[in-house]
Amino acid sequence: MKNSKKGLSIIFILLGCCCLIAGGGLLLHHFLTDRQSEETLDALRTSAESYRQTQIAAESPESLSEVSADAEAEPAETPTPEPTVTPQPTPEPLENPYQDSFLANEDMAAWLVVPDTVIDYPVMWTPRDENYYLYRDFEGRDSQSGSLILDTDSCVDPMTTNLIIHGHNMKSGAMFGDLDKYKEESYYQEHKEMLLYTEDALYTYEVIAVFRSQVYKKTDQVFKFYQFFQADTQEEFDDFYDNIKALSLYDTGVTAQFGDRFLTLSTCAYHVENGRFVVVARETGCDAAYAPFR
Amino acid sequence: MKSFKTIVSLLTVAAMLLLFPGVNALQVSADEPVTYSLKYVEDKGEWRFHVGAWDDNNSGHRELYYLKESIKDGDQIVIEEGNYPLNLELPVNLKSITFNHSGNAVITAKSTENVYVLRDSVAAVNGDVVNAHVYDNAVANFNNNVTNLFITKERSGEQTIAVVGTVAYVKTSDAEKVYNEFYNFQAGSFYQEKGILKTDASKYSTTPPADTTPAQTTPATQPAADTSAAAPAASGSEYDDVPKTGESFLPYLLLMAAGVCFGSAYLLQRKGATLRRVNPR
Repeated sequence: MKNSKKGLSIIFILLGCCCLIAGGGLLLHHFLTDRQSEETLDALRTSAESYRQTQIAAESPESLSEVSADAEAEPAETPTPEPTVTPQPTPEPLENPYQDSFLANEDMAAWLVVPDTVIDYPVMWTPRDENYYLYRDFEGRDSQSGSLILDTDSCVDPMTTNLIIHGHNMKSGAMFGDLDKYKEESYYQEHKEMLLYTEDALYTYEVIAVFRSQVYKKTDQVFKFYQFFQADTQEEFDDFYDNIKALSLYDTGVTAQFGDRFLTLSTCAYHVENGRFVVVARETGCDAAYAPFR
Repeated sequence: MKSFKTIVSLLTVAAMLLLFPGVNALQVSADEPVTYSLKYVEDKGEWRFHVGAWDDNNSGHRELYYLKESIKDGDQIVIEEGNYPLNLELPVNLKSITFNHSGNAVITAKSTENVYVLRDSVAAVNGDVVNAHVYDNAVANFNNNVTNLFITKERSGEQTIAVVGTVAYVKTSDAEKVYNEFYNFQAGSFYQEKGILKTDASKYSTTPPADTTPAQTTPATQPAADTSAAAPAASGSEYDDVPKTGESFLPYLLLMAAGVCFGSAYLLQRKGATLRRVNPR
């Protein structure tokens, strides 16, 4: 009896060691791959930031005053007998701060930024295989947190009425791990704005609705937020708009009308099986148009 | 003692239950066969692939590197028309390769069930082939064994074919009649130039071997290189197909299971020590 207990005890210890090694190994692997992915993204963010700084420097008052000083000095040296109309300098087209990222991976459809949050990631679009980047990082390496993916039925060029972006709900907060913080209205108040950099332009959005939903059965005849991509009629638009407003956890006070476009961020939630936490934002404008760089 | 056994049993069951939800993370679904179309993309200066039929808008394609990562046994490939050389190694057993008027392509696979070399194509296949179909004026090199070779005339009968390995059965036909059937070509002996068989008669047989079962009938017309029907099938799940964005709990479940196991082992040893104190003998 004593021997059988001892044997059982040893089996438990061995089993425990196996589980410990396997679990620890997986966690370590995830940590290392995610860190590698984050380093790649950091390099891309740094590149984008340097483009922004260059643009800011080019538009700074000092450089403008230098230009005007030169412009004033010139007539003194070469006076003209009659006043002439000075041609206005043609504004140079803006450089896309994320052009290095777009060039590095042609699967990148956009770069999403929610100011003052961790959401600052490339959005990948692979129509041939929607889930290609679900567990792959920007460079295609295996990654537990994967990348943000633009639904294959969404498109940025030409832009569909609704762009749906899926992202992992990571416990670390990475990707869309912090998206469910929008359930608090106070968080929404501080993070209303979203920015989407496409190849051609910078689009701004403001959050219009925040709600919990789920992936339904194919046979279920219910509102499915993940099946709305294009509104060609008022009726189609109203169906989506009315439903998201009705489902919203609180009233944002933001309204929309037929012709407006949306950005929908979706991540897994655990309130029900196949749950989803969804934040919908309405496009408020195109803040910048970028020069082609390819 | 009985209650102790019950506790241990319950803990074991609990550990198993904890592990159970994570098991699905290790499941591998039976993947549907996928058809990949390959084409030379001029503005990229390289061969690229597309899942399913090639997009007329020339979009949605990507580098062959990714094809090698994703292709699996049972998949099919179509080499689209073009005169750029292609040399592709795919370490899988393919369901089919179709050379769709392709200029100069070499495909290496572990084995291939069906190879279609359509007219105007110049192709080479490394790896054993079960059924090889060569049409009109195509040029084909099979560098390993071929079980059944079907030479089909639609517009012309000027195929040039060489087989480095053995050929068990050869049939030459058009839509209306079968011109000839030959059997058991010795290794490296089969060679046909512009429709004329050059193999020495001593190296093959004109009568079927006694145990030969009739080869499968082959369509007399060239198969269209339409790949849309063979694109990946939709998910069989009853739920809508939406990316699953949850994080895997497997590592945490394993760590919890480890804790349960160590706890159980500790309890067992402690109980044993208690019993020894109560009853030293």
